[in-house]
Amino acid sequence: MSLTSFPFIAFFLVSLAVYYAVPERLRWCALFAFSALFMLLSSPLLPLLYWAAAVLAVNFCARQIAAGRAAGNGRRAKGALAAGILLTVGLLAALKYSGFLAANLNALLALLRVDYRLPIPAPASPPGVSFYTLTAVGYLLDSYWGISPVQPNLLKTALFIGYYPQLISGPITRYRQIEPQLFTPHRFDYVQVCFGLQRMVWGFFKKLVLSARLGILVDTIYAHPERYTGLYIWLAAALFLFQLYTDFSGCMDIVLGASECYGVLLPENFKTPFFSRSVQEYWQRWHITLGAWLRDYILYSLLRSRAWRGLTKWAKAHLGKKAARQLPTYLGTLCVWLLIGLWHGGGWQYILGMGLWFWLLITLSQLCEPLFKKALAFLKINTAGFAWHLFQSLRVFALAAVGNMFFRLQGLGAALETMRAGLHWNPEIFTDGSLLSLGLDLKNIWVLLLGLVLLLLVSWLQETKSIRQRLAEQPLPLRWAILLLLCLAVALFGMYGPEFNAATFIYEQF
Amino acid sequence: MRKLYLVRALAFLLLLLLLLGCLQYALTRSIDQQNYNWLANIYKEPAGSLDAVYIGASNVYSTWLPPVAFDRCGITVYNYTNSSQPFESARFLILEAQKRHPDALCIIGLNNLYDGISDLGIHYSTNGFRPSVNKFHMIRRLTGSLYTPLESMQYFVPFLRFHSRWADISPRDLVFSDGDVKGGNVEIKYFFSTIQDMTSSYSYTMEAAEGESPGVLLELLDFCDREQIRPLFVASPQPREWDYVTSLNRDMELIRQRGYDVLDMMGSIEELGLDLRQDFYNSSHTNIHGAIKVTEYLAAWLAERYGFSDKRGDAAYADWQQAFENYVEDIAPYTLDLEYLGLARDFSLPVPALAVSGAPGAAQLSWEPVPGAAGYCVYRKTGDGPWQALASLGPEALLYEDESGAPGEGCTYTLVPFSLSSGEPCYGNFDYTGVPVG
Amino acid sequence: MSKAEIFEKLEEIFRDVFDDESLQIGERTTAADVDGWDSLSHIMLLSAIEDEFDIKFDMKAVQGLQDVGAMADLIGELL
Repeated sequence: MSLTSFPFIAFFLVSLAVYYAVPERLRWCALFAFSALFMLLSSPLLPLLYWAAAVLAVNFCARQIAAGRAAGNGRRAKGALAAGILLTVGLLAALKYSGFLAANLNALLALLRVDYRLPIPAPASPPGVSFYTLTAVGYLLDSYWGISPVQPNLLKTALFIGYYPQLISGPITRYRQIEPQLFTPHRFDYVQVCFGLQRMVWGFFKKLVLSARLGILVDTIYAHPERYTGLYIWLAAALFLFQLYTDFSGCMDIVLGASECYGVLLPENFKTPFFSRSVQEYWQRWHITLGAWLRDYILYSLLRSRAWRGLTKWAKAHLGKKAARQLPTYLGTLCVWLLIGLWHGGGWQYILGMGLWFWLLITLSQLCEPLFKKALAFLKINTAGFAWHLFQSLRVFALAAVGNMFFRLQGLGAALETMRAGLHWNPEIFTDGSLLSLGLDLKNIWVLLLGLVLLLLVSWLQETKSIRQRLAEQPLPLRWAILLLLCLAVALFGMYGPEFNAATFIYEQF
Repeated sequence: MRKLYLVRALAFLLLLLLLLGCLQYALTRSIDQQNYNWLANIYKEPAGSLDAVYIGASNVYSTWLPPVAFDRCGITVYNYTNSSQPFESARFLILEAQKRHPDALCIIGLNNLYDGISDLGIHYSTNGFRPSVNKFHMIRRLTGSLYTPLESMQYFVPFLRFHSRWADISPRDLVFSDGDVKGGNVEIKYFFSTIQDMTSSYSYTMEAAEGESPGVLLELLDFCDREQIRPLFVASPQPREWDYVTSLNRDMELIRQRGYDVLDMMGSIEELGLDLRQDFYNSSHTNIHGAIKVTEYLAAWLAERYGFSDKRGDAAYADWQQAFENYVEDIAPYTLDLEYLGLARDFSLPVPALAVSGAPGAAQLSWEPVPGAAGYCVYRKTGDGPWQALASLGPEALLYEDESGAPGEGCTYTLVPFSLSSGEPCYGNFDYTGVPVG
Repeated sequence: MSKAEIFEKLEEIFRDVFDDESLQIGERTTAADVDGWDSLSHIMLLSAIEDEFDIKFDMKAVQGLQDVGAMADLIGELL
C-alpha cells in the first residue's frame, strides 16, 4: 500500500479513530492489529511468512539470551544470539542477495570457462526486510550486552518488529527507546495529534509536489543518455539527490507524523543533511538511524574485537603510533562502508559506487586534514563565516550527488558510461530553453523552484526551533492561513490522481 | 477531548472543505463551460416551463437550436446534452428533468446509441449535475463495468482529476456566462465555419440489419415501461455508411414494436432541404446552416404533433425571446439574414454558378440562369464581416456591377435565387462560402 | 588508584588520541568540548583507556558515558 495513496489515508484515519476509542490498556493491541492489516494489504501471503519466521526466531532467542544471562550461562546466551542473528540475517541474505550471489558465481564460472550457469533466483521479500532485520539484530545484540530489556511476549515482539510506520522504510529503532512508547497506555493529546497531522501534510508536500516533479526531470534525462549529454548528466545527478532527499525525508515525515499521532515518537532519520560541512557530517545527518546502527553494532564490535586489537599492536610496533591509530580505524570504516553499499542493494555499483566512494572521500579528507588546515590558515579563510559554510555545503552536495549516481543508474558499467557521457561542456542548455523540454512545463518548474525555496526556508528555521512549535505560537488566523495554504498546495500541486501515475518511492524496494 | 478542541478541529476541516469545493467548481466548470452549462442551467428554468427536454450527445446540439425553435414556433425545448454523452445516461437525465418538469416530453436522440463510454464523456455528463441520489446512481452505472471503485472516485470528486489544471484557470473562467442563449451552440467555432462535402458518404437504405439491438436500448425501454414514461425517439439526419444506417433501422423498428414513437430523419435529407455538399461539417454533425434547417423542421413537427402552445409574446417567456436575439448576434457573422430570420425557403432552386471578376470597388458578377427562379439576391461580405444584402434583381438579370465596395478591401459575393409564392419571395440554395474578389 | 591519578592518566591518553599536547580535561568535559571527539575517536579513546588500565568496558558502559567524570568513575569501579 503506497503511503501517498487514498487507501492509506483512509486506513490511517480509521486506525487513529479505533486507537483512541479502545481502552488505554489495549491500545497496543490495536496497533498490532493495524500493523498486521497493513502488512496483509501491502504484500502477498508467502513473504509475510518469512517475517513471521523472523519474529518467532527473535522472540525465542531473546528469551534464551535473557535466561542464559540470568543463570550466568554465557554459552547458552551466546548460542542463542548466534542462532538468532544467523536466522534473521540468513533470511535477509537469501531473499535479497541470492540473486547477486548467483550472478557473481556465474561470472566466476564464465571466467573458469565452465559451461554451467546457476539460475538467478528472485524471491518475493516481505516489506521492509532490510530494515526490520537490522532492528531485530540490534535488539538481540542489546539483549546480549544487557543494555536492553527483553520482551517475553510474542505478540509484543511482533509489534516491535512489525510496527507499521517503521516497517517499510525505517527508521531503525532500538527496543529500549521504543518500548515505553509502544506498550505504555497513552492519553489522547490534542496538540500532539495536531503536530503529527501537520508533519504528515508536510511529508505529502515533499513527496507529491517536489519529489514527483524532480523524478520526471531525472527520468527524462537518464532515459535518453544519448540525447542528454554533458551538463545534463550532472544536472540530473543534482536533481536526483534532491529527489531522493524529498522522497525519503517526505516518507519519514509521513511515517513519524503518523506515529506521533499514536503517541509513539520515532527517532529522526534526517537533520538538514545539506547544511553539513563535511561528508562525514553528512552521513551523521542523512539516514541517521542506519549510520548509528552500523556504528554501534558493526564498527564498535569490529574495533573492539581481538583481531583489530592485534592489528593495532602490530601497527604500533611496525608503522608507528600514528599509523596504529589510523590503520585499524580506516580498515574498520572500510568494512562498514562496503556494508552500507551492500545494504542498499545487491550490485557492484552500490558496493563500489556508493560504499567505496564515500569511504575514500571521508578517509582522504581525514588524512589530508592537517594539510587543509595549513592551507586555510595561509589563505586567511574565515572558517566560521557563512561564505565558507556555503562552500562546504555545496562541496558536500556535489560529492554526494556523484555518489548517488551509482544508486540511480543500473549497473556499474552503465554508471561509468553515463559519467563519461557527461564529460563535455555545454552550458548553453541553461539559457536556450532546452530545460523546458524535460517533461515539465514552465509553470511546473516554477512550482518546483518555489517549493524548494520553501523547503530551504523551513530547513533553515528548523535548525533553531521546531517549525510546528513556532506555528503553535502564532495567532490562530495566521496559523490557520498557513496550514490551509499548505493543505491546498498539496491538493492542487500534488501529482496524484488519474492524470498521473503513482510516483514510486525509491527506498521502498528494501 | 475538550469541547473547544473538537469545535476548532471541525471548523478547520469545514473551512478546508469549503475552499476545496470552491476550487473544484472553478477547475471543473472551466474545462468546457458550454458542456457544464448545458447540464447545470436546467435548474434555472422555472418549474414546469419546458415543453420538452432533448437528450443526447453532439448529434443533438449540432442539430437543435432552442432559441431558433422558440422564434419559429414559440416552443421551449431544452438542450439536455453534452459532448460524448453515453446513451446509458438517458434514463438518469429523464429522472432529473422530471423532478421539476414532470409534464415535459422527453426527446431521446438515437445517433449516439453505438458510441461507447469515455472517461471525459462521464465527466461532461456528471460535472454539471447537482449532487443527488440520482447523480450517485448515474455515476455508478456509467463507471460500473469499466472502473474499480477507487478509479471511479474521480467522478464523485472531480477535483481528484482536474486539480492538475490549476495553471489553466483564468479570471474569465470564474464569471463565464454563455450570454444566455438557452443552450444554443456558441463555443464550437468549427460548427459555425466548417463546410465539408458529404455526398460520397451518404448511403441511405431502408433495410434493417440482422442481430440483437444494443443492451442499453433494451435497458432504457424496460425503464420506460416500468416508469410509464412515453419519450419520443429521434434519429437526426446524418450522412452515414450502410452498416450504421441498417443498424439504426433495426433498432428503430424494435422501438416501434415496443410501442414508442420514433421520428426518423435519416432518410429525410431532401425533405429537410439539407444540402449534402454544404450543410454538414462531418458525417455525424450538421453545421450552423444545416442546424437551422433541422431545427425549423423539427420544431414545426413537434408543435403540431404534441400541440405545444405558442409562447411568443408571452411575458413569462420573455427570456427565451431575448435568448433568440442574443443568439442571432452570435451566428450573424456566419449566416445570411434569410437563414437566421427564418424567411421562407424553396429548396428546389439549386446553387447558382457565379463568377466574379474585376477588383474591389469595381467588381463584375455574372451567372448562369437558374430554372424556376423569379429573381436573384446579391449578398456581399467584406473581410470577416457579416453578409449584407446588396440588391434584389429580376429573373432576367445575369450581370451585376458592384461599385459600392471599398477599393483595396477584399470581399466575397454570393447569389441567392428566389421564387415567388403568393407574392412573397422563397429563397433557394446558395453557396455559403461565396466567391472572393481582390 | 585515586581519582586524581585516574584523571592524570586520562589526560595523557586524551592528549595522545587527539594529538593535542595542550588539551585540558575536567569532570564535566564532554564530546562537545573537545575538537575532533566524534564517534570514531570515541571508540579509539575507549580502546586506549582499556589498554592502559587493563580493564574491559562492556557495551552498556560504552553507550552510557556522559562526560569524563562518569568515565573516571567507571574506571574506578572496574579497577
